Amino acid sequence: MANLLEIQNLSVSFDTHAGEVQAVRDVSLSLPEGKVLALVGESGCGKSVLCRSVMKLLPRTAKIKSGSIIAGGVDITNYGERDMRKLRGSLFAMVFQDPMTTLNPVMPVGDQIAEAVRVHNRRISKEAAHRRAVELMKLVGIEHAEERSKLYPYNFSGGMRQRSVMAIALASNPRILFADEPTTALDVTIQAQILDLFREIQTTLHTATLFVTHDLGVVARVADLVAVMYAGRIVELGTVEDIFYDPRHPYTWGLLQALPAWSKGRDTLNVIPGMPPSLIHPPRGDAFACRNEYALGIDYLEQPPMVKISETHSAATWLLDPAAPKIPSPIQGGPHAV
Amino acid sequence: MPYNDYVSVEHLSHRFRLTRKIAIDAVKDVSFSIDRGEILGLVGESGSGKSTVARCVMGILRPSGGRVTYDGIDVNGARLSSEEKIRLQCERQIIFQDSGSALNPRMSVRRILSEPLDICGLARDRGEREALLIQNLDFVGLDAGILESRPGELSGGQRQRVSIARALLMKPKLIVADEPIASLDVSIQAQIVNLFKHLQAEHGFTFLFIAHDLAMVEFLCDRVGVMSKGRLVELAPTRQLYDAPRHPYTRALLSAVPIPDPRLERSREIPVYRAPEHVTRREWTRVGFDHYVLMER
Repeated sequence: MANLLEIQNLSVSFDTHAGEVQAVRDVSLSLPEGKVLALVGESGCGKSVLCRSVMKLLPRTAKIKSGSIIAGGVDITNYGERDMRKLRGSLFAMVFQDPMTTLNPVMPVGDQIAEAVRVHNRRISKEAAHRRAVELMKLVGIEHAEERSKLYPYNFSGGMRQRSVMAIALASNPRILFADEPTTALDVTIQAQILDLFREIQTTLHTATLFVTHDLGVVARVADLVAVMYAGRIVELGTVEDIFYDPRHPYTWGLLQALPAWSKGRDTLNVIPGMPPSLIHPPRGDAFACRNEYALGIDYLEQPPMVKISETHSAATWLLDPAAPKIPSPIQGGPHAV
Repeated sequence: MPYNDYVSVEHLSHRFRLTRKIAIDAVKDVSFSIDRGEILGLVGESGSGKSTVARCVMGILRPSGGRVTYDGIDVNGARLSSEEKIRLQCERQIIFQDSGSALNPRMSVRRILSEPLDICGLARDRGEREALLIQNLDFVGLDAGILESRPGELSGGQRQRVSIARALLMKPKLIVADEPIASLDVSIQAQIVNLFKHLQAEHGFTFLFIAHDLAMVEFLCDRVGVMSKGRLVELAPTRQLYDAPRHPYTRALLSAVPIPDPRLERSREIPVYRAPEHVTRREWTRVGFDHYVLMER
C-alpha cells in the first residue's frame, strides 16, 4: 500500500518573546491510502501544529527546523506559498473545528461549494459547477440537495453545516483530508453521523484522513491507525486495536483510564496528575516522566527511543527496554473487555 | 411561607427577537426545581436552550414568560427589598463556559478575585482578604504564586480554576455552571469534575450543571434533565435516566455516546432521532419515582 503522506523527523518551532517554543519535536509518521489516522493528545501537544505544518498554514513565526514532508510522492518541505496554493484543495483539504465560522454567512451554501469547485477547475461552466455542488451535497448525505443548495448557512443545523464544510473540502477530489476536531462543536447524535460519513467517504473515494481529536471514543469509531502525541512527540503509534487493547506507553494508559467509563461506580475519576510541560524548555529525558507513576531513573536523563513491538505497533518508553522491570499494563481487561 | 424547592423554574420561556419579524423561541415552557444541596444536570445538543435557562436562572436574561424563584425570592421581581437583592447577588454564582472571555485580561488574578469580595464587603481588612484568596485558590488546587499573573499567561485548565475560585469566594449557596469543562482536555476535565464533587461534598451548595458530555453528567449529578429544541423532554434521577430512558431523544442521545472500545463501537448501529413534525398534544407525564417525560402526540 502506498503512503500518501510521509513525515520524517519533522521539528517545528515558534519564535516568541519568551523563547523558542518547540511545538513539534522529531515526529515521523506515514499515512497510507484509504486509511484514517487519528492524532490524539492534550491541547498544546502539537497535534494541530503538525497538521498545519503539512498544509503550510502556520503563522510566520513558525519554522520547520528539520525533517521532511513527502506528500503524494513529492517532497514539499521547501515549497513556497505559490506551489502550496496549487496543492491545497487538490492534493489535500482541511475540515475545521467549528462549522459555524467556516462558512460564509451571506452566501448560499450551494454557491460556496460551487465556488470551491471552480477555484480548482477554471474551465468548468457555472451550471456544471452548480450540478457538481449538488452532487457533492448528496455525497455527504444532505437530503433535498437541489432545494437546499439555495439556502444560507443559518438555515442549516450544525450537522448539516459540517456536512457542507466537508462537501467543500471534497470539491476537488483531495487525496488527503485533514480534519481538526471536526465534531467537537456537535452533539453526540450528530457526531456519530459525521464520523460514519468520514468512514464512508474514505471507503468510496480512497482518501487518506488525518483526524485530530482528543476524544478516545471518537477514535474508537473512526480510526484505523492511532498516533498518541505528548509534548510535541509521538509517544505511541499503532493500529486502533493495538492502542485500545494492548497500549504500552504510560501516557496512553493514563488517557484511557481518565475516561469516565473507567470510574464507573467509583467516587472519583482517574486523573493524570500535574500539567503538561512547557515546550519552551522541554525537560531533558522523557517529557512525561514527572507525571508518570511508572517512571524509571533513566526517564529523567535520556529520551526513550521508539521501540517496535510489532509490525504496526511502536512506543517510546523505557519500560519496553529489555533491562526495565516488567510492569503489567493497568488497561488489561479494561472497562469494556469482553 | 416556607419553600421546599430551593430553586424553582415555572413555565419558563424565552424568545430572542432577531428582527421585527423573526424571533427565536430558545426556551419553551420549561419547569423544574432544584432541592437544597442537590446537583442537577442539564444536557442536550447545542442550541437546545440550556444556556438560556442558566442565564434566566441567574437573572442575566429576563424571561419572556414564566417565573424563576430562588429560595422564595422572585428573581425578576419588581419589588424586592434591598436585603433580597443582596442575597440574590451574593448567594448565586455562575461559572461560564469560556474561561478565556470570562476573566478580564487586563486584571491580575488577585484583582479578579478580590473585586467581588470588595463589592460585597466580605473581607474586613487586607489580611483577611489575602487569607481568603489563598484559601480559595487552595480549594481549586492552585497556589498563591498565581495571584500576580494575568489570565493570558494561564492555561485553559488554570483559568477555569480561577473562575471556579472566583465563584467559591462568595460562599455561594447556588452555583450555575454553564459547560464548565467543555473547553478542557480529557485529563483536566476529570480533575475539574473531581474538584466539583469534592467541593460540593464539603460546602454543600446547590448546583446546576450544564454539559453535553453525558458520561461526566452521569458521574457528577443527582438528577438529570434532558433538553431538546427548547423543551425539557425528560427529567429523572441519574441512575434511572441512564438505565431506563423513556423519551426517544434521550435514548438516541445516550446510545450515541461513543464507547472507547473499537470492536464494540464499530459493530453497533446508532439510531437517528427525528423530532415528530406534527405534535398536537404535549403532556408532562410522571412515569416512575421522580421520573418525568414529555409525551408528544
